[in-house]
Amino acid sequence: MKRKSLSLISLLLAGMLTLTACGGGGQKENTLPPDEGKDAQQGEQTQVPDGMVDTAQFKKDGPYTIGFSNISVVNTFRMQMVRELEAAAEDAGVTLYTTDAGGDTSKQVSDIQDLMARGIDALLVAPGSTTVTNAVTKKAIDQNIPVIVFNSEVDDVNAFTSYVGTDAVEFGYVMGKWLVNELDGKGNIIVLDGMAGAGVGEMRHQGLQKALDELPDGGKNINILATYYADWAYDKGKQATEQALAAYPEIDGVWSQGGAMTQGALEAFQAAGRALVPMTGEDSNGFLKAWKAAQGDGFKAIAASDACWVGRVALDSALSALAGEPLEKYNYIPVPTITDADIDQYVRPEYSDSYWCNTKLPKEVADQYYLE
Amino acid sequence: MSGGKLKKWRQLSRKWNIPIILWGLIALLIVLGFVSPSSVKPAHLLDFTRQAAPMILVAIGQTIVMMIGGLDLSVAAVMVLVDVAAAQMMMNDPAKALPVALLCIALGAVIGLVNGFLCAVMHMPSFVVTLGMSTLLLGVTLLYSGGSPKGSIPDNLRFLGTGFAGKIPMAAIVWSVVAVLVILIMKYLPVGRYILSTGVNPMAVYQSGVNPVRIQLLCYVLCGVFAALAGLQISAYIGTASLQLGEDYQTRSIAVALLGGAAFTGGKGSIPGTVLAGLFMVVMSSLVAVLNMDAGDQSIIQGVIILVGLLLSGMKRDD
Repeated sequence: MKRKSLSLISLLLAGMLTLTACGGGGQKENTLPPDEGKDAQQGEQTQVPDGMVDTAQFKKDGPYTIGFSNISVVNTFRMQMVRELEAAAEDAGVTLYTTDAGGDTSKQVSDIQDLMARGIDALLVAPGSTTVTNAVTKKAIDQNIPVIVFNSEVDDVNAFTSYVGTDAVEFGYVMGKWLVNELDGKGNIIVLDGMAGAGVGEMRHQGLQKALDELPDGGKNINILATYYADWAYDKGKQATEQALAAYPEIDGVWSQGGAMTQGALEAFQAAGRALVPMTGEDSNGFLKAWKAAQGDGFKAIAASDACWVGRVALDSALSALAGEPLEKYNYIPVPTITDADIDQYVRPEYSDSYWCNTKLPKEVADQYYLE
Repeated sequence: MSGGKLKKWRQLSRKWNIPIILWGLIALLIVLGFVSPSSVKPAHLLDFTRQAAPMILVAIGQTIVMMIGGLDLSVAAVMVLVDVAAAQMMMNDPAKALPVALLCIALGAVIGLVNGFLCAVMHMPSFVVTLGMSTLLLGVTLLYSGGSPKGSIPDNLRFLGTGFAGKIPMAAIVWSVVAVLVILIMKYLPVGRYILSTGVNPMAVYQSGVNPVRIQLLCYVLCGVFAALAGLQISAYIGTASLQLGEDYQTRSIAVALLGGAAFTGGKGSIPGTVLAGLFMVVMSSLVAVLNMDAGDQSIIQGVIILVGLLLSGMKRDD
């Protein structure tokens, strides 16, 4: 018996070594002396206005092959983001190679190396870390492959050509501003945050703080009763709100930074038979359906959106770079919102909860994935 | 706290066979009562019994596997798969609730059987086997749902997660019935004794004419079944399919089993202790939230509470 398991393990190990060896080979092929490319790039960058990037070094003729390295698809938002990008690539008539790192940042590095070995003309990266992919994307730029980072930022300006995404602070600010307006600048609120220590979550929370600070009284009359870290998850958002409802007899508003959490919060208020208060959320269809149904009971809400068509914009940027057109270094998409006035345009009762409503996905593609 | 008092507590606990974590739970409730008096009103105490339902169910399974010296890191993945499969197959149709629920439980049993086969028959370490299974199941879930799960849970099943019998939450009744059954089996049927002694000395079990491999297989199957039950309970609670169910069921179910009196070395564990530890976790998260501290402090406080709880639970075993 022992021997059997030993041989199994050694088999596994052997397989892993082979894989590693292949990855290493790919890397070597792509290694250029790092200094050459950088000098050329810096020389050209001086000619364009502030905040813009010269892309002359990337100019080449089509047809294009674009590589996309994604950190993971383990949530419905990212899934739809990938689908939007795939649809956009089809519209643009480019070949798209997609890799998925399954949440593993080091695998994302080897994914990018593999994509480069395949001979791509431009690289799109939805990074899982602000630092880990920087060395390899610099190499791509040295090889005249433009690198468009989107959805989540990296911290080295030399490691990408252009960034596309919403600003997480603005995301939280838009929600916060709406909520304090609804409450006339005074009242008790609870906060449903994402994961403790997660970058995007912290930045959205800073946005709320900014909205409070901007009030004439500095937000003194908005009392944050409690902050719950509910991991953007439905069950945890619901549990946290139940606990808050028990602990605090007077809650005037809910600032939640995730659609599923808000859906849970709304359901908890309804189950407790408490009067519905203004809540902030995201553009997930599950929340929008629940919101629409509760409108008759006087429920008011706002849904901010992370723009899951961001990949479409990133692809456009990549194509611009390949055409040699100057790009903005930071292309922030203004945070789109859905309000009581226009919810009917967005909510899709016939689609599943996992659908994100602020989308540019073609109807036939959306039907295929989300029709129940 | 003086050593003398602690000793008295321990003697009292041992005399009545009371899991030490009970004192931890009571202490937490007292502190919670001081911080937020309305949180300890009866209605909310009953809320706790409902919120703890998935954790208690999954941790009972984890405790059983830990009794034989194993570990199951695939329970959270089973829960997510079951939730997604249940919503997608039921599609809000009440007539499908029972057959699909039974199918989900069978699915849990099969996953447990595979885990058990690899651990008990192939003698592979449970840590690696179940971690691999967890990754595999995540892939299956993504493939099955296409990354965007559909469907919803019909009201008759949702009743078990959100409904009430009088003032008692149905979810609390579900785990109570399950826990009592398991406690009775562990106490009065020979299989309970075999499970505990398989963890300590499989040879002795073998000599008494029972194949310890079968006992191990049974334990993994049970763990899979309880994880499936926990998944169904979450489905009933949220009513929809979600890929983002609290991932901490994987590690926290182990913490709950340990708090309840189980040990990594096997041969130990208490179902009543696990049930109380599940409640302990829910009360703790509520307490930490009403203290209204920032993320770092919340995390530190939770860590300290869990460590103190483990310390207390461990003491009983030392003497």
